Amino acid sequence: MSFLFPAFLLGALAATVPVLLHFFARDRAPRLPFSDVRFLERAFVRRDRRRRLRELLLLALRVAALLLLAVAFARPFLEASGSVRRITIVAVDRSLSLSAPGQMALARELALEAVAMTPADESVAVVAFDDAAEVVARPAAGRQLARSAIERIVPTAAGTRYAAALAGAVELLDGRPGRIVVVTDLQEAGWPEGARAPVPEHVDVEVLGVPPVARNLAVTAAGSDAAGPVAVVLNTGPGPVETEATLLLDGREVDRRPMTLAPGASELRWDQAPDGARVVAISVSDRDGYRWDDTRYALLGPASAIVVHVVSNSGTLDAEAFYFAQALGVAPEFRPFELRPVTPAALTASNASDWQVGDVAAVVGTDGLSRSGRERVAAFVEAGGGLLLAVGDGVDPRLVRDLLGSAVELAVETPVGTSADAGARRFAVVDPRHPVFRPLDDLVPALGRVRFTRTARVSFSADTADYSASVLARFDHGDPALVEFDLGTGRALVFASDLNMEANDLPRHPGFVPLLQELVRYLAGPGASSSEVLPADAPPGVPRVPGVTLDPVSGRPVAVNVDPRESEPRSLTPDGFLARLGASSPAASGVRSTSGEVAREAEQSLWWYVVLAMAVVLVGEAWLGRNMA
Amino acid sequence: MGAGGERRPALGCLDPEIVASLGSMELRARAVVEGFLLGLHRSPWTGFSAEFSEYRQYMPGDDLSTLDWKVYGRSDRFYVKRFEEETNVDCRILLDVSASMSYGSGAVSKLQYGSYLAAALAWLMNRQRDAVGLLTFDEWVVANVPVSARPGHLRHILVALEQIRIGRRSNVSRALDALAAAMRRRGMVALISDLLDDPEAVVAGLKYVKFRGSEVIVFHVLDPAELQFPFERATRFQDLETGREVTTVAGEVRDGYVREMERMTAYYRRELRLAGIEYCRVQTVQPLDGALREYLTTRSRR
Repeated sequence: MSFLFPAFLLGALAATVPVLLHFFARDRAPRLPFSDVRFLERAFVRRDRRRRLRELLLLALRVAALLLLAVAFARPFLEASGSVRRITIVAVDRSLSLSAPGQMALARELALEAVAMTPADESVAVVAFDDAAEVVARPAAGRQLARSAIERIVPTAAGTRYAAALAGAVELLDGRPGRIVVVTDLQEAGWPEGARAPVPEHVDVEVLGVPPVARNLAVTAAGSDAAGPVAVVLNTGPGPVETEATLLLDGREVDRRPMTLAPGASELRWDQAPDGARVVAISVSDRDGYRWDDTRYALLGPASAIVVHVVSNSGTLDAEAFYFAQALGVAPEFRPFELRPVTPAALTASNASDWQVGDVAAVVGTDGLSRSGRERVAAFVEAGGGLLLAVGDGVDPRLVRDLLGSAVELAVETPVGTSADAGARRFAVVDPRHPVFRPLDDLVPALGRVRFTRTARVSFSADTADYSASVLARFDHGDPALVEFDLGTGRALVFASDLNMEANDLPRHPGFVPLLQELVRYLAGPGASSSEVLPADAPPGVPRVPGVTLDPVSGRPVAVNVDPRESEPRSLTPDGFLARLGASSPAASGVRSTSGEVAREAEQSLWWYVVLAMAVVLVGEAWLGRNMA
Repeated sequence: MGAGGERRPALGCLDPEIVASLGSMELRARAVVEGFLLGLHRSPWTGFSAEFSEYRQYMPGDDLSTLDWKVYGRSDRFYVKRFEEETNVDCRILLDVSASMSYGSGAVSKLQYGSYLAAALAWLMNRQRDAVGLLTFDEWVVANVPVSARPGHLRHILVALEQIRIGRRSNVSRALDALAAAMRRRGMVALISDLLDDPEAVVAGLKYVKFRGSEVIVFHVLDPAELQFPFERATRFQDLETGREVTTVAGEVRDGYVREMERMTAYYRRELRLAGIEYCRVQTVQPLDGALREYLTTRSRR
């Protein structure tokens, strides 16, 4: 047995108090000379023995109650041991690339076969995954639960992320030995460039491959230029194919034309002005390919600028926010930014009331930032706004502790390390498929060449119900470089360095401009980062299937489209898949190193039983004490 | 002869606390006895003894042997002579002076009460012309004032009672054995003790004395706290004789204690009555007249 908070076991020392009282305070009974005690000795020796026994029992109950209280506070849980049953986790791919006719049925068949082949002494669990993993059947000795869960798995419009699937399965194993059987079409897009999935050594991974489709037609891009609606259509087959293309404007079919698609990507145009239409949808007929990628949606018309409130000590865009302003100033006309500089001292609850949901606050200086201003920023994020905090020289660590609200307990140390004593730092992106980095494509690895001469150390309390945090990028010494916080309906990104080339050379790198633009668009919320969002990135209230829907928070229309890379059925070999696996290391888990124990303790909830036992002990103690009185 | 008078409410001078406040043992004994006698209609010891008491005119039915012929010769009237009884009974008072007798929850300890009772008895016996002696004991005989009917002998007994010191452990049967071995004549034995000894041995000893032809009366002196056990809280009770300690919650063990005590007194009462021995349980808060009345009842049998 282990304890989540073993320090509370020190509270068990309190159990010595009743013991000491029992043995050292009992002789305080007054002495009274009496003529003859033989009647007391003779007549009540039995009763006295019984009383002594009851006293000892009472003492034991009191000690037990205190011990149980200490144990309950220490939150006990049972460690996984060698005698624990092995677990076979069947991870079934339900991504878009399994939506072609017959593919999901074959995947289910393979998964059921894997369940049937599992040794009888092993438990079985089922995880369904696309770009995230979902446990659809928890580990159980029986097979029926796993079988029925597999039968209910249906394909989704989401992409493939093997790393997420394997991480979910490993977390479900929770340190126990076992086997992960991945049923998938081995789509190459499921492994982004450089991505690896850490798997413990005592976990075996097997792959059951579902054959990819021979040919898939997909609309990978859609929009409208000056000439009219335009689309890129992909034919992944080896030869040309006859199909039919359809154009819809604001949901109304405008044109339908037969066509022959050559292998590869083809451009499809209509010489027809949209005539004020807001939404264009272009689709191709494909009965044999994937289900969700035959139609693509795009929002037409000029996009409104994203308002960025730049909080700098100078209150201008020419000093510490110079490179930041330059990066956003070169945005394309259809995706512009509007920068509004403001000083921290001028930021108060009253004059910041014009900040709207969908705006972004970029904080690069905190001189004179009052409590009222900090509360305003926290409330702005809570209400759905976006915050970018770049911890450079102009940021006072003491003033950002509650910038994200009292729940986060953000602690910043700056500067940590200089070029003189620690050498230049590099940083690496943890998840290249995060919406911030996904549009950067090949520029992501290039970000690893940025040199940091000064970095801040950002730490924060563990996730609570009030917020979640995740590290998007880390420095090479392990400290978080870019941390995302989800608070309420808003989000914040904390960058542990500056954006003005004072502590790093990031502005010199080609990834600087797109990175900053994507950071701000991501913070501005759905519909601002792009006219398209992936199903996985659809905001709450927006269906995770292709289509155009109004975001209930921002009120903006959101076009949900599938990831075009998912339409490409190129697949890996099983060996190529397994080559992406790596041994897990404790450092990789970062701030979440104890999450396994927390989860195990939460799952077992033994402390409830301990508290229940303590209640029973106290009831017994009260009953016994009353009878002795 | 006997305690033939009506019982009257106890007089103040028979209250043990008032008796204790008197100066000397002699004064105490006299106060007790005089107070006691005031409660009786006639002298308890007028009878057929040797010492002249009064003349009375002859009435039909009177014993002719009591006619005083000299008076008849002088006055030509018939008078009968009446005499105070004059006995030659040896009365022995055995007083337990063991440590347990020193216990007292009130103003008077058992030993004080016993000594007052012994003094009163001695006074009464002396007034009755009985020879009286005193034997005090704990586990051995502590002091022995021989039996004598001389007028000045009472003072020796009272002085001995004044000089009583608390003894050690109690051994009633040994004292009784010693007494029985020393007795030359049959007489009367008054045992004053709390009887906190082996009951069977005590009863056996008393039976032996009775067997030797003496009338025996036992004054079982107890403190009210010994009978009612009014304590409540956890207490370390220390035995006055052995020093042994028992820690217990008094209120919890009270019922059992009282039951055991009643069982012991019932045993004494039953066994002694069966043996023809008078048993009188007295509490140290009770007036002394009850004990004296019990004595006179027993004395009347001689």
